[in-house]
Amino acid sequence: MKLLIVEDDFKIREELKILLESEGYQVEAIDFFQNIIQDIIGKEYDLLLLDINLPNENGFTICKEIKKRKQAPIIFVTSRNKEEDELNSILSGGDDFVVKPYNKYILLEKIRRALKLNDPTRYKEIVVHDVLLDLHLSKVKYQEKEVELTRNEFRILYYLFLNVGQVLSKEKLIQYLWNDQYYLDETILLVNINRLRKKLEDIGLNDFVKTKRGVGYFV
Amino acid sequence: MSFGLFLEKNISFLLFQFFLSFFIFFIFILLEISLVFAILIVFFIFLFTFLYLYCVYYVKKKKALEIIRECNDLEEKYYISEIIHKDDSIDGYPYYYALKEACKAMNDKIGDIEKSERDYQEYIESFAHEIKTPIAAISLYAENKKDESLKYEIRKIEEYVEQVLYYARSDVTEKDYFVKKIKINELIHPLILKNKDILLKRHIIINVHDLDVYVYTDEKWVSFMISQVLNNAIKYLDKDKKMIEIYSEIKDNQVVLMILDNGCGIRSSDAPRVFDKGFTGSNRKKEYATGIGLYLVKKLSEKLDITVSIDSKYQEYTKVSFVFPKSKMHEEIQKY
Repeated sequence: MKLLIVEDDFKIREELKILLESEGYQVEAIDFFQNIIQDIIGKEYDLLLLDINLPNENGFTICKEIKKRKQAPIIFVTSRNKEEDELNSILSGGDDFVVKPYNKYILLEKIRRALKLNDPTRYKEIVVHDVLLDLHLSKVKYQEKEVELTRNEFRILYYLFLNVGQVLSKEKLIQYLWNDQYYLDETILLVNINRLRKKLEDIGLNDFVKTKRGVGYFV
Repeated sequence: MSFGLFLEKNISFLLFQFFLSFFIFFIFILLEISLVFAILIVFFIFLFTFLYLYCVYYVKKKKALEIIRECNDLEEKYYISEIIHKDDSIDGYPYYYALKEACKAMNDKIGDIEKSERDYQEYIESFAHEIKTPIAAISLYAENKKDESLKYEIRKIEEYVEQVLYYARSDVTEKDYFVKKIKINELIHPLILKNKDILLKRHIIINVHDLDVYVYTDEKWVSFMISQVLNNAIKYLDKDKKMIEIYSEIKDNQVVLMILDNGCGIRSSDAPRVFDKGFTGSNRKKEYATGIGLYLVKKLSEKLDITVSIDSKYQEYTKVSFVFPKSKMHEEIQKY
């Protein structure tokens, strides 16, 4: 996923870049603000982070122009949180609105959400290694046997299924859970993982959720 | 305003009547006419005098009462000089003139003060907005450097700046007030995310439930209010097992949002004063307590028509509840 940052404050631009890169996004920033609209249109990106107060041009005007030509979501960033700004951001076609100072988690969640909104795929079930996770009934099925999961257990398994083969650290899992309004702490996460493993064993899935010592979990 | 006082004021007129009566008696005695006529004439003179005085009194009283009524009806009393009728009489004019001038001077003064207050408020607001850019830069820097203590300090700065902003705005809510339909968990979720680091670091168990309800209110103001309460809850947790529970209930068709923590609670002697400006508690650890947070919560809540109340048991728990106003829109929707 590639993000484009349009922000005239040098320090913020640099730090934002570092932050988003550390989250695994590809990030590009615009450094000159003479022909912003042309510059933006010339770039390839999946999401645009756009400051409202820019030299030469106002963020809303830019947004309107860009939206005529590009579909990629635009998130506005601003230090003024006034209703009129929020309204203008919607009127000019912005997808979301973040207020400075950035809170890391809120910014990341809004980016995630904006990107997901444009993603047309919606699953009903996910199958990994012949194991089926029913997303509507929160059940796991394996060889004619099935077991129902609690909300938390289901969520944990869901993230592992979405990232098949990848090791998810406890921190990463917690971040996923928190973003989706499941506020588990480490202890409760561990309890849930253990319960989940037990339930999986009951339907014949021994050691399905594997541990990579000191790193995290994977399926 | 009594008739008696009015007569007293017109005593010279009455004395003149007395003098006239004596004069009539004197003439009648001199001309040797029956005094019965004199008595009759004098009687009529006095009758007419009193009738005349009473009529004058009645008219004046009516006028006076009208001015008093106008003044009472007026919300901003210093505008009275604008609506009062001009009185050109020798008695009334100086008072009319003085009132006119006094009101004018007062209005000018109020105008000046309002302007300077507005300027000041605008300056504070623009300051709070300007300072957010460098704070954002430092905050991102701290985030990238994973500097926990810097992050902690920045969080405090952000909180103070937010308070300044809302303090400056709290007197002019009308301008910035925008009621819309909003789901409570969409209010709560960003606030929890904002505090994620500290919640995880301090092993605070967040129990959030039953928040799938809609309220009609101003999102930003309510977010600010809830964040003040949440910050307090986090700040004063002192047990080994730290818990914050956030949930909502429907009572008499009203949505009540509860924020319950098992922290150190509030002494019953402190309870009535927690919403006072500058009150920081008599025996709490004073870790960056400003005494402004809850004061602002109360003030803003009154403007938004939300009832905020605190129920607490010292050493055991604190429960803050927000009762959202019933909305006509809400009822309309329930009908369908």
